[in-house]
Amino acid sequence: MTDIFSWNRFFDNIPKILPYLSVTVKIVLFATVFGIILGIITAIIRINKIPVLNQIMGIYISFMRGTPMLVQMMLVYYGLPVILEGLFQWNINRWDKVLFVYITFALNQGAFLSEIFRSAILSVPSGQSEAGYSVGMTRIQTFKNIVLPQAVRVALPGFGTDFIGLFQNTSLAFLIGVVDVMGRAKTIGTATKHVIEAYIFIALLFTVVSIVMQLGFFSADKKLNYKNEVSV
Amino acid sequence: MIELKHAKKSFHKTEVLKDVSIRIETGEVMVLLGSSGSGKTTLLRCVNFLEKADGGTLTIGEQNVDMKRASKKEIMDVRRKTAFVFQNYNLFQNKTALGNVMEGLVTARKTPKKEAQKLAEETLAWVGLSDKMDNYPAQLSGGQQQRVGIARAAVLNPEVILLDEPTSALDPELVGEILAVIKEIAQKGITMIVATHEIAFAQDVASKVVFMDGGVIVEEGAPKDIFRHPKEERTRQFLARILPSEDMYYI
Amino acid sequence: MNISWDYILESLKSGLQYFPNTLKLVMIPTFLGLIIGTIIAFVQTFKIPVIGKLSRVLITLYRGIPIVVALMIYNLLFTLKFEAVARFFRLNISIADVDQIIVGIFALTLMSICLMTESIRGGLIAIDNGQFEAGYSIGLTRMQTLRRIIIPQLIPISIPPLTNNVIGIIKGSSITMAIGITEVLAGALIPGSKSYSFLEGYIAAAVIYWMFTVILEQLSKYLELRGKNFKRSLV
Repeated sequence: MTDIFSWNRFFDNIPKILPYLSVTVKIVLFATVFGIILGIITAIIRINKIPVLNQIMGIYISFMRGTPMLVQMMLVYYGLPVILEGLFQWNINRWDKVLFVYITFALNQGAFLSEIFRSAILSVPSGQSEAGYSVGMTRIQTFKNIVLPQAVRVALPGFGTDFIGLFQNTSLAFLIGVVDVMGRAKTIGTATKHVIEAYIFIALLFTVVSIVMQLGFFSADKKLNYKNEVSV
Repeated sequence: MIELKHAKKSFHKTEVLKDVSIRIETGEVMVLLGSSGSGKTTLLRCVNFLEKADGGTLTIGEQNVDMKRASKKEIMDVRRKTAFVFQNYNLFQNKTALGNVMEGLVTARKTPKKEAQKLAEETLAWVGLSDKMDNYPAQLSGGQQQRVGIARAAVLNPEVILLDEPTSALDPELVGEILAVIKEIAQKGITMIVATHEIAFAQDVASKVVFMDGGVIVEEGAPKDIFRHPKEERTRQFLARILPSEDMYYI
Repeated sequence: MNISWDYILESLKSGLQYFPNTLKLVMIPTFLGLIIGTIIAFVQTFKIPVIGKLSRVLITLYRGIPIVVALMIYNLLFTLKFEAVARFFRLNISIADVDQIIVGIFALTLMSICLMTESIRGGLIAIDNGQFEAGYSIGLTRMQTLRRIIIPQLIPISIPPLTNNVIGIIKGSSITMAIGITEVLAGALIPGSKSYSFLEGYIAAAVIYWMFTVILEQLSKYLELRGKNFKRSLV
């Protein structure tokens, strides 16, 4: 099997591949930040059942959850230029490919997170809000001080799972030519004709980071819930 | 006749049963009294091997079993001679009241379905639930569910029925109906071991009361002896806490 | 905007032509995943010594690998090592005789096993321990308790997570186009290579997947409702 896998190449690749992890990190960051914003807005629209917008958001969520990430990415990559050209005569041929990835993942996260947020907010008993109003707090104060903190506690596990999934999904970006770790593996493969060491390293990398994230969310979860039980 | 000799059980580092021996004759009703942690629930659960004791022997009728080394077959034999009523009913959620009562007969004892159904219907009528036979547990009140639980145990005609705080999970106004059903069963001569807090019930129905504390039997005897003339200090302290004091009647 | 409806239609037809491949890529892993996943979930729940812990570790590790990375690795191993393995087993077949879809099915099956095990284990944990105890207390064996009491309650609880898993597998199947397997997505893109515009192909593919998912979700809601009959209170 040595002609297929070589430890030498494996270790040589590591410094070549690792720097490109920064691309992955940027995608995850962008998608999370904008995904949270979009998710909160969408969740609020859906919870309050604002007419018209509610239905539109419903379709948006169903589409994001019902179609493969790869297809979404390609649709944005091929479709956004067409839309922007048609509507505003913008030419975005110069755009860095990774921008399309940012947009796709942000939109995708917005949908998934909105469902997580919505169910978490709804799970806080209405009695909590009622208590808030009855001591004289406004709707916004009650939401911010009473409902939101409790909702965050409920949402954390789901958010964690989704976050790890987001991280793993970024591995698709190389399919439109973005040079992240997978993209770098491809270039190594084209250059040296040996790519399996690179892929295996990437598999290990993703596994290790995923487990670290899982542990992180697990302990954050414990901390948040511990504060809850002390007063018993 | 059921006899437990030198039963021992520890959970992790805590010794919950420290050398408990009890004997109960056919037709007797034994009430286990004690606060939570006294070991009474564990004792019951060891009898039908829901917990595996760390030591001791169990004799049911003709059968003699080493509780620590019991084989699967011995455990199944014991379970066929006993029945359990749980504090939170544990009715089979996916079966109707009738289904719950029939299940032991049909699946464990291979009783033909028609015969099992007849017996089950009779037993359910006996606990007053003929009109709820086809309802699922989710559709029954707590008291009704517990009555099904009792029927499920009684229909098996076991050598002993073990009841673990049968009324603790019920609203106060439903407690009476369950105690009445248990009393009826007792009057039919069925052997029972009941773990409970209900003093009045114990005074009324028990043939023997056993007071447990900290994993040992502190005192045992006939109800009137235990309640009127407790010999041990611990028994006295316990009774003082849970027997209604004179003042309470004036609230 | 110059999106051509005709091309979208053509891509739809082309994509649907390869729907059977997508079905293979989804149904075989789902089926195998359910069976193996259930077994492993029960092994883990009943704390059977070695296999229980080992499977948990393996699954936790394997779940970290993105499907596209796994596909790339398996495909490489397949193309490079197939001849050698075939010779080892003295089989007289060449790589041209074997459909590459096997690689996709293999990768998706592993993914499916991980997902299904987690879901079913979650379902088992959700079932009150008292149901087991009640079964044992009336003399049922563990098998009988599982068959008559536990599993009928497990099924309606498991339907939502299992549906999610299947949808995950459907999405995973679309990625197999990256290793050259011709399923719905690849099929929908075929007309695009003639017209130099792939957008219509992706739109068509999106529509097909979306419909597939929506139908699945409706089916799942229906099954859940029917299975939950005993949970409806009279209130």
